[in-house]
Amino acid sequence: MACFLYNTDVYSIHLTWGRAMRSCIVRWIVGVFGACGFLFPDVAQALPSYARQTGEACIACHVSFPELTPYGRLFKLSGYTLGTTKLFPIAAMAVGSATQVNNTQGNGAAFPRNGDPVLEGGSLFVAGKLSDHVGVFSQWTYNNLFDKPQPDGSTQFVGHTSVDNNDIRLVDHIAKADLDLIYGLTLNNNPTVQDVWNSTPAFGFPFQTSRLAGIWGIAAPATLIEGGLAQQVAGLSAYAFLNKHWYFELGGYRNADGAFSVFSEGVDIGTRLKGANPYWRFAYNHEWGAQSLSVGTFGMAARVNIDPTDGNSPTDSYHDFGLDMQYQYLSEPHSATAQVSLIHELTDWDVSHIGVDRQNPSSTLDSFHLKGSYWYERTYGLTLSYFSQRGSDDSVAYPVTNSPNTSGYITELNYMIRPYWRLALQYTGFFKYLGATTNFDGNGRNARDNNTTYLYTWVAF
Amino acid sequence: MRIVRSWMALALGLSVTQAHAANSPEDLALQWCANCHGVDGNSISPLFPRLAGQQTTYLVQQLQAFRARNRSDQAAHDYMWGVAGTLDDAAIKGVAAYFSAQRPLPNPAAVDSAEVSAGRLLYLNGSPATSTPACAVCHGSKAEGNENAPRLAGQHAAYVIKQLHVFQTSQRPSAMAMQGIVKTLSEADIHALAAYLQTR
Repeated sequence: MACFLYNTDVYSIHLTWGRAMRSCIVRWIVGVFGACGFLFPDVAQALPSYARQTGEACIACHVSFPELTPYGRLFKLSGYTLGTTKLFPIAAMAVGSATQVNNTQGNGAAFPRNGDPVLEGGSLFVAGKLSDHVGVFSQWTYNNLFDKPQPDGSTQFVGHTSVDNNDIRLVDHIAKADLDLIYGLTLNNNPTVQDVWNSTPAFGFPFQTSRLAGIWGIAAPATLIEGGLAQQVAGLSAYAFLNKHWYFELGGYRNADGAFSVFSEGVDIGTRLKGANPYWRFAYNHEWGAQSLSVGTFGMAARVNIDPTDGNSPTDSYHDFGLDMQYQYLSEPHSATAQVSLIHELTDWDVSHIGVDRQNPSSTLDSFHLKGSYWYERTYGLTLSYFSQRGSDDSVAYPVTNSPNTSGYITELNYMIRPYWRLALQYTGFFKYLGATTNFDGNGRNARDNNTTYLYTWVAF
Repeated sequence: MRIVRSWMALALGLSVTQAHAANSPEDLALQWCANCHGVDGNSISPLFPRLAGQQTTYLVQQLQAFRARNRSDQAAHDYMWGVAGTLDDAAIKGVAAYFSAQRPLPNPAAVDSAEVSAGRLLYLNGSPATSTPACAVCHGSKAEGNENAPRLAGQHAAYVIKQLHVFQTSQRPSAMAMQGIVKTLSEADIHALAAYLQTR
């Protein structure tokens, strides 16, 4: 493994960290993996608790985590209930990484831990079959890079544990020679986390993003359904998958408080939904030979209180409408997958915003993602993706450029050291950032200055 | 609270329907095996073999080998060890009987007719020059199989190729005869046989 790190051309081309940093990463990786081997000697059986439950390898359900194969989609839609119930359906994962921004413009304090190897954190999963009709995916995450702003403006990192994605299912499966119907309910805390195609936001590409880049404020504009409600809400929806072709889902989301506050445990509510807010998802799925294709639509209408601490405050209205498509070719040794999605968002702003942080009573944002991956023996992977966000001109929200428009690309090289252990090098490049290619902030910062190199390792056990 | 009550009501309803479902081998075949092998055993993806019309004896033997972990090729390890590990003898018999009773459907593929002809000749007549016996002797003139050898007709070419390569190893110890025969086959022979068999 150390040889891989030191000898890989890509590594040496893209990164210029010193020897001390590299050996630190190597020591960290060896330490984490050693601990895994010590704590979980049976890890060779593959991915966490679902693999232990079914006895199947990671690749049965995943092209590469978290992208699902056709069988993985059926496993999820079956409510995680295939296999045998385990007394302790527990799994865990950890992520270590280093992120380097293209240009700090001499202001290193604004980019803490730039280039440093860091332990991002880890998750504990309670994930498995509880009975023949009930299964659960419950993720709890320890964030080792929780950003605690200091009075002097600097950043202090502390550890923080909170709820992450949750999906609890109650299902039934009617299987006859001429009818195959999987139907059930999902109770979850992030719209689209329940979806089985990786062309919707919660499990869409990029599957792993740098926490540090987010803390540095490098983030493309996003529609509400693209993570804006994650761990803020509780949603219940009814779904049905008919004859492995037609998928229907209707449900609603509400604020995760009261009896549902466990779904936002440890997370500040920054986006408070008012009342019940409808969510919908329809898709057509077709498989032939080694290939599969899905075409679908999803979306939600959401009323969001302008004051997240006051459920009686006026609301902004979001209407998110998404179109998505996924293609997979899964063979041996070659696999290729592609996803594309376009989300159109229309927001009607409460009058209190006008002139304060919004110019107009309503605005739109179109978020586009296109991604293609190639895998050899499900071990060596190359992913290319393009993203674009285009929205209404707004001289108040974007006083420098008058526009939120952002576009760029992500490339990622993957090496699966083991099916449950990934090493990846991800590069995010911006063509345009918040409305401009150059000087988007009025202080001479260019879009490409925000480009980031992200080396990470992810291990699940 | 209304949401919680709805859940409880549905849970109760489903547990009642479950009481008489009782996971028969046929349920198991339709709810789990069918996810990869197809409801009628005519799998779509060449990653997974077609089981429709397969010989019961062969299916039972293979499921037992998966359960005992005697068959250790990569796909067996990745997919079938776990599944078969949950089956008792009665379930193995029942699942095997279910797929054996299904009607095999044609498995159309874009084929090279010269390759198919070469495969047909080799399958029916063998090759005295390389001491390759005719496959038809054991697998039947229509590749329908019998008590001693599996059905091959209509099988995905990619799967046949993969298994012939597995026979070059000792990962399927019960296939003693095939381990010897495969040594007489060239890579072109393997592809020709697979192309021919998928068209049967």
